[in-house]
Amino acid sequence: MNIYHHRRSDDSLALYIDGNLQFDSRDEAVYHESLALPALCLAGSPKRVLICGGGDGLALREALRFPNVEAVTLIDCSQEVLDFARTELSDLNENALADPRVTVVVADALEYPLADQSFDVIVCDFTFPTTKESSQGFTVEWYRKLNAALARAGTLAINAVSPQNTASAFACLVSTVRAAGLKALPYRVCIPSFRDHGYGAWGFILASKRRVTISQLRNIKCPVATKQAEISLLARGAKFSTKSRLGFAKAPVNNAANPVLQALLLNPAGATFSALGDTPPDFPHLVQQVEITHPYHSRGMIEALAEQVVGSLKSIDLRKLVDELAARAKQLPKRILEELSTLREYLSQSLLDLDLWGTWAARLFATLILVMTIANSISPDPAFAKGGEGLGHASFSRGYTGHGSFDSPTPSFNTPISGRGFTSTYGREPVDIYGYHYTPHIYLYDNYGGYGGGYGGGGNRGNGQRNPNVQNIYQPKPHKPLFVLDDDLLAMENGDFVVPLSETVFLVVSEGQVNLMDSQGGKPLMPIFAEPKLFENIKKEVDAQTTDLDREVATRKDWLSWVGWTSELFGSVRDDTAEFLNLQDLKRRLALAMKRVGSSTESHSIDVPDDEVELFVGCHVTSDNRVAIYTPGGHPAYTDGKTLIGPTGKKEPLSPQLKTAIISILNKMIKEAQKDIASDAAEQRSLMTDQRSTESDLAEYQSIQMQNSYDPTYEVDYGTDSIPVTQAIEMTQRDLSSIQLDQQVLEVSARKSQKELERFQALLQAWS
Amino acid sequence: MTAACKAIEDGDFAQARHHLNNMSMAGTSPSQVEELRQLIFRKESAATQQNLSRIGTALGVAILGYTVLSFQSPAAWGPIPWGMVVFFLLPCFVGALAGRSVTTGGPKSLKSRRFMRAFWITSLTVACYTIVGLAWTRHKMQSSDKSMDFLIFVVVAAVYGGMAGLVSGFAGSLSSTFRRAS
Repeated sequence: MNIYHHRRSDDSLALYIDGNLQFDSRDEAVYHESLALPALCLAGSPKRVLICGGGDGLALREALRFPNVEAVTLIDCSQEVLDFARTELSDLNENALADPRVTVVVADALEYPLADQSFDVIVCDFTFPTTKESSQGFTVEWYRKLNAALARAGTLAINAVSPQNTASAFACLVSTVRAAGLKALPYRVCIPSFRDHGYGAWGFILASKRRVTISQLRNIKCPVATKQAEISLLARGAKFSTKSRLGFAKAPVNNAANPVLQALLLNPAGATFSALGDTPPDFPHLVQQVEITHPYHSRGMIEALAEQVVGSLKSIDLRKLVDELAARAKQLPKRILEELSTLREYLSQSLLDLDLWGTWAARLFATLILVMTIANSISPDPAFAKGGEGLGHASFSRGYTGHGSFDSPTPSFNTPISGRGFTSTYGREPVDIYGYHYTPHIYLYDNYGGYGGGYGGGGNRGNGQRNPNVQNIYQPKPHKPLFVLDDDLLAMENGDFVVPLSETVFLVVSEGQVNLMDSQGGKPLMPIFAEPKLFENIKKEVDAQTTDLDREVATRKDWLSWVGWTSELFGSVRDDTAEFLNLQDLKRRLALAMKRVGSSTESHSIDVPDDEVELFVGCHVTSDNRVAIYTPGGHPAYTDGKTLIGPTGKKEPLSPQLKTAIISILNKMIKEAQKDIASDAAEQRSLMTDQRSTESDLAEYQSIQMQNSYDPTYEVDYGTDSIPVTQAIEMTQRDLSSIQLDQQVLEVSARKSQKELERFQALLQAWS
Repeated sequence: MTAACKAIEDGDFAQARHHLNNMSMAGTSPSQVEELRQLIFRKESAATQQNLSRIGTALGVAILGYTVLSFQSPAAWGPIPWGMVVFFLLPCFVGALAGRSVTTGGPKSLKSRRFMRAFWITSLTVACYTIVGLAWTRHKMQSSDKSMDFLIFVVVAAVYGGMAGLVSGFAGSLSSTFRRAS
């Protein structure tokens, strides 16, 4: 760590670590108050505070201003910074490190053990990540650790990066914090010294286990006086455009195995060669496209290097060079002198256009340098396994038809494979199109005939419609998912498709039929109406993902056609070969699975009537608290939890297995509906707050416009920018319309979820 | 004088100058010496210009050929046709063109010079073509371990460049029918 401080004549001081400005004493309070105070205020009356990094003691100073704070643990890896804080910075940090409430630990915070729920406030004040090692303090693994260490009502303050200069990296950090299970509120602040250094507006992230909203930030009543920051105005910096908010949702997650943050910081514009188009670019444009992958490189350096090479070569005057050589060649053998004279004579009479050759030579060298830079830019990209939540534990929906997904367009999968699922664990663990592999979940069932006609939980009651020649002996076998098409659609090794409905119940889709299965005993519960839309949707999904597989296979084929012969030399090429073969195998298996699944034997679809709610495909909850299960042929069997009335009107007791299965699906759906409703409500509140705030901004802009006699050029603050008032009004009106549209969509979704929840709860109550 | 003229015809201008010096020391008339000097200079300039133009042509053909090849991956061209073109047809053609560019220096040094000239022109072009092709292909692939890529690039580019360069060199060294300057 390279520490440098610059003390000016007015006794102000700026501290740099590894060349990056940490703070300038003239405006450091803006930074540290904006970072620490919102978290400290929103935590209520915090008692235990953890500060990671921040060895300068300035964030610590802010924490100690809160009288309720009983203990602060400061972990910093640099003894040098801590010593500097105790001596040179003691006035600035108000001698915070000597406070009896403070425990200073010299250690790597990432390695330091943190007890669960042990802190009310955690402040992460790490230095700007310039290497992969330093970006470990910005990974999802680290934030998960902090989440565990955070008290239930605790808050976490994170020093992020600039959302202005490195928007994609900032979005990645927001996404990473959210992926760690925290609710995150990003905001930005303009710090003059940072702006002067070209860092742009600076970003922070406020996070908590509970939701943190802009209105909470706006309504903060800070119990301590601030020096430079106005805490309630921070809410203004927390307003991001819809595009930015979408960016937060879509941004990749930075984790230890795949540290994407570094690449995003180094290439904030995200320029890639794909952006070049068909027209050959000019040289400066080409240089502009070179991806920067080394932390000590910058775009300026690459451009300067290219310019220097071109400039140096162009500046050589060959004639003058030979003259100089000849002048200094007196001490050389006579023959060399003669040769030089001949060369000089030749050059003076030469028909060659030396300038032209100089230009071409310069271009050639510059191109070579560019080629080498491109080669150098292909940085290591260690693939990783997402792991964690395996199949059967993730949030599965109601089967394949929930929330009208029949009508939704087939998603586009343009994200390339980045996991190692196709390299190392293919065939042993299920993998998705992105290459992430999941914990295998075994599904127990017999995948051919024997239960086609029966229902009610029996194993051998079917009439063997599909395979009349096969004996009706039901023999459940364990089947593993091979490929995860979606959260609720799995392609099995044997070519069947499985739709998980709850922890214990699933649908098997095979040979044009659908069967409801119990995963505990591997028993078939009953055949279900083979909804044609389900088969269509499976086909669409498989087609879409096969297109992606084709592309990935073609890319690997191209690569291996260049380097395939080096597989004995390089392990990575061996892995690429294995991945290529596995992708081809998956393609073949999916094609076979599509043949095997066939098309529905039913001729028409069954729509969900208005007064019914779909529990899963082919199963509805009716208005009289019964469950209608559509059997092959489209005839419903009704159950009230006690008896089952078959399609023919035959009444029989409902089997305990089927009842347990429906209840388990109901419980699952209730949990999901409650989660949806809570999420919708929170979102609605947030939108209301946004609406009020936007309306207030609009009124303010209109008033400013009026006060300035409708001068369209009069500029106003808009976020961190200054733009003409008319443009600010237009943009605010657009924001307002967007918020209103979001509200309407949310309202429809909330009403639907509420209706479903009520129906499911009523049914569960009736059946209990 | 006759020997000097023959050396000029052979493109061996060093030998021609040697004869010129001998003539000068043997007392040949200054006007004859000067005439011969001018002749050597004119022929040598013409030969050099022709050399450069042929090098340019060979380089241009190589760049054009491998640029066209880079429109598709080897897999798309088909491994056998691609291998034939990259390692045989284009190198032979470029080698022959590059070999033609050696028109000075006399018969003794022609073969090795032709070989080296053809070798370097082709091997460097193929190495560049390989690196660009590899970089572009790898750019489209996000998965797997890329830590060895730089080494892979260097090895593959060196091997491909070397192979094509050798073929081109041999083709260049055999292009004896074009050795004379016009």
